[in-house]
Amino acid sequence: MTDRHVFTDTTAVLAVRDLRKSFGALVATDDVTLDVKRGELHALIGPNGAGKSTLITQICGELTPDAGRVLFEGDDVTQVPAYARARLGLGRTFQITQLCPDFTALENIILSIEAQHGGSFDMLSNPRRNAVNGKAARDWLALVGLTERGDIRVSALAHGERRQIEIAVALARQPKILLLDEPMAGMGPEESVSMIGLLKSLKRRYAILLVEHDMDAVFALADRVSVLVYGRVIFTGTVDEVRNHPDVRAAYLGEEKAC
Amino acid sequence: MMLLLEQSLNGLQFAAMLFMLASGLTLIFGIMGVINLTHGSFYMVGAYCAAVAVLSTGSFLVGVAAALVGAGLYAIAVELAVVQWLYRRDHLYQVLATLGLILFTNEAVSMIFGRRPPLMDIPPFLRGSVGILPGLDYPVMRLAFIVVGVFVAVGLWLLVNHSRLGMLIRAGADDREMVDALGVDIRRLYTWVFGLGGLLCGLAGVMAAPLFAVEIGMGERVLITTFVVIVIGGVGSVRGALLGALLVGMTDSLGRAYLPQALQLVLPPATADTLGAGLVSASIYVLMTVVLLVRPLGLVSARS
Amino acid sequence: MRIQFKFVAIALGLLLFVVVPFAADMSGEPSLLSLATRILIYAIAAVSLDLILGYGALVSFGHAMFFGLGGYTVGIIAYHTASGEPLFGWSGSNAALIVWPLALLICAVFAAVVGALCLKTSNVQFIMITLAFAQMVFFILVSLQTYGGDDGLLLEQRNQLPFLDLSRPRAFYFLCLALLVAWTSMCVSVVNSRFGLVLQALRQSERRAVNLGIRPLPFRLAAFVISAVGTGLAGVLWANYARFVTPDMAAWSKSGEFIAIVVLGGLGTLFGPIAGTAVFIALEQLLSSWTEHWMIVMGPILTLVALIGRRGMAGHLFGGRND
Repeated sequence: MTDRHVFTDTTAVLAVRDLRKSFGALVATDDVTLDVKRGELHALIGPNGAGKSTLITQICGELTPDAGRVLFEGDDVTQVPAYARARLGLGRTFQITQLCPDFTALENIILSIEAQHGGSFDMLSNPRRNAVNGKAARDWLALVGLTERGDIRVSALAHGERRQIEIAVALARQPKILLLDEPMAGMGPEESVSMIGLLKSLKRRYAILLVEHDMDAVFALADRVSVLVYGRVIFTGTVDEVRNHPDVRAAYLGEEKAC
Repeated sequence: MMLLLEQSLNGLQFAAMLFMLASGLTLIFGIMGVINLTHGSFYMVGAYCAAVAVLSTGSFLVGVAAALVGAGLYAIAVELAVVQWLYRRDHLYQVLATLGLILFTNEAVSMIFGRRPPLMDIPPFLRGSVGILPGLDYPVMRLAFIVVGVFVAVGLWLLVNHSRLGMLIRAGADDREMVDALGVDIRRLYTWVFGLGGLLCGLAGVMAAPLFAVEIGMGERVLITTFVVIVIGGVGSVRGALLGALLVGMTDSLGRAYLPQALQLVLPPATADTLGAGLVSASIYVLMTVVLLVRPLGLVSARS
Repeated sequence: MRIQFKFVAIALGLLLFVVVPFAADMSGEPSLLSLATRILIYAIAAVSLDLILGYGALVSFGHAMFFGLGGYTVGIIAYHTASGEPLFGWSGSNAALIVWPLALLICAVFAAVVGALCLKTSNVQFIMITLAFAQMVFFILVSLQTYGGDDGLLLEQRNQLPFLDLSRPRAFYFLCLALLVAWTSMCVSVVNSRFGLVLQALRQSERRAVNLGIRPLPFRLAAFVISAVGTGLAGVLWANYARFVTPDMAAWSKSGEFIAIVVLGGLGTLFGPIAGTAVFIALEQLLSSWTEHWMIVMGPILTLVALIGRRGMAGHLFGGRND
């Protein structure tokens, strides 16, 4: 049950209130209310088709909700376009990795660093040659454990490496909150362990909204979990509360029975 | 009043021709994702085949057959030789490749048929004018064009919505891989659709040949207008092509008739004269710009 | 190793261009100088188009409108200066230092307005709306009876520079070469700068760029305007070179020519299009001297380039786009 009083907490970096989105007769987002507190890792789970991606796109500003509000650090950003939300401090990784394939890993990170200058039109200096950028980019690369792969074109990197680079790119922008859309997707067992380790190291330093299918990751990382079924948040609580909640079990087990 | 009616009928006739060209083009773009600039060349090939056939046999029906066969076969040849390699490519390469084909076709046609434009007379049974209203006589040939246009619209509607080919076309537009997985040879489907587009161009060509000049370059003139039609109507939608054709046909026709006078009312005569001629030709582009600014994807979305 | 090869190639190319006037003299072929001048002028347009086509992935099918605008501004001012009729109250001028910046300014302003409108669309709609604007310019140029209409407009003389006699072919050639070098250098700087980084990022993954806080429109518009100014410069130089401007300068076939040149040379390389221009114009010259039906060869060549030349002539050398 989502208790509305709990969410007037002012330590919330991101809050979503009564968000609603329909596509014709399909209600993809059904009065969703949740928040992500400073320093917490809040996982969002749910069966396929629950509307997790639709919710994320609305939070990021790529999709406009039919009703409801998105609040960032207390300010209403529902009408604010995606690029502006990113400038306010909303960082994101995508379900399908979004990187610049012709650029090297380092160039992608440098792009992120340079993007902090927003709309400035510097047409003279080469950001790739900037020593400060270079050092910072290498540091971020080291954080995700890919120091040796910096000068390789992203199109030549392995899937798992690209997922990790994407995290470095998001971090380099120095966001206030990270929205991670299924970072474990397509990762083999070793890569998954590596990624979980990375995400663990990010906890407390960033507020994180983690959308995931991989339950190992969720149970290892989450402070709180929200369960999304058919566009509705049916429960929000700690990992243990979620594990034992009858509605949640029904939603997942019911899902399996239907197969 | 009579002028308005007459110009409206001209607009409908132009719309009929545009629809024949645009429907094929929008199907090709919508289903195969290819910007095919050679579409205008198919129209030209159709007109040339018709003109030459009529000149040598004297029969309009032979001319029609020649146009359909000529344009259709050429379209299929182009698809097999060039276009089939363009399906996954960036629009840039499609534009460039088909641009090369236009240059080739123009030169080939002038080499085969000679540089002097062949004159095709209006067939005897379509000559003269008919009194539609007291005081308004309208050429039979142009009326025939409109009628043929209506038949094409109805025929396409039946084809797309009530035939197996149409179902495949609609399915192929939505999900290429799915149709493939169903065991349908998507390559042959594409070739047939391309051929159908060519056929429609040939039909437009044979109808236009008695009315307009049959010459090299006739394709390019109408090609751009055709693209304007499908962009206004919404790429991939035959309904959109119909709507776009009507809008463009009427705008062009009524614009030519009334814009110069309208400008005279607003601007000093010298400027009105100068700008008038230019704006009349540019009216459809202004229309397209306005539509795109309001509806960036055209009036009818193909995936509604 | 590859990088050094690139510099050698550029140096060689530059040397070749410098040597041409002297080679033309020695071999007694003045038309060679003429051909080379045309190559230089078109190359400026090609480099400019590569900026948005290759680096920005904006397929503008109407860039010739700026070529025409640049040329006609020079032509119209020349007409009024020669005839004595004032143009909006101004008696005109023959000074290149006045006329040329004015022409470029007009191109820039026009590009800003047109670009702002066109960039509201993308994909095939963008291609068509850029074409539409070019057609509008073309038809307006055709309708300007005072300035020759369909037949075009002759210029009595080239514009004048205080320190250089542009009526001398060699002097004009070296001016064009200097401008090509300067313009290309500027474009190289732009492409390697933060602005260029963002423009290329927008091409490769707009979603990623937006989610990093980058707003696409201002960057694309700025690139569009810069590209238009370069193409306008080519038009200005053409008007001076040929002393003749026609509406065909803004025809869609001209836009197609520019696109073909850039793809032939190599998208996203800046130097590739310069080589592409040389090959294209030389080929055109060669083929048309063999047969009047040269288009039957030129056409398929363009088609082949589009089908197989993914990275163009210089793509491998200069590391262009991976299409």
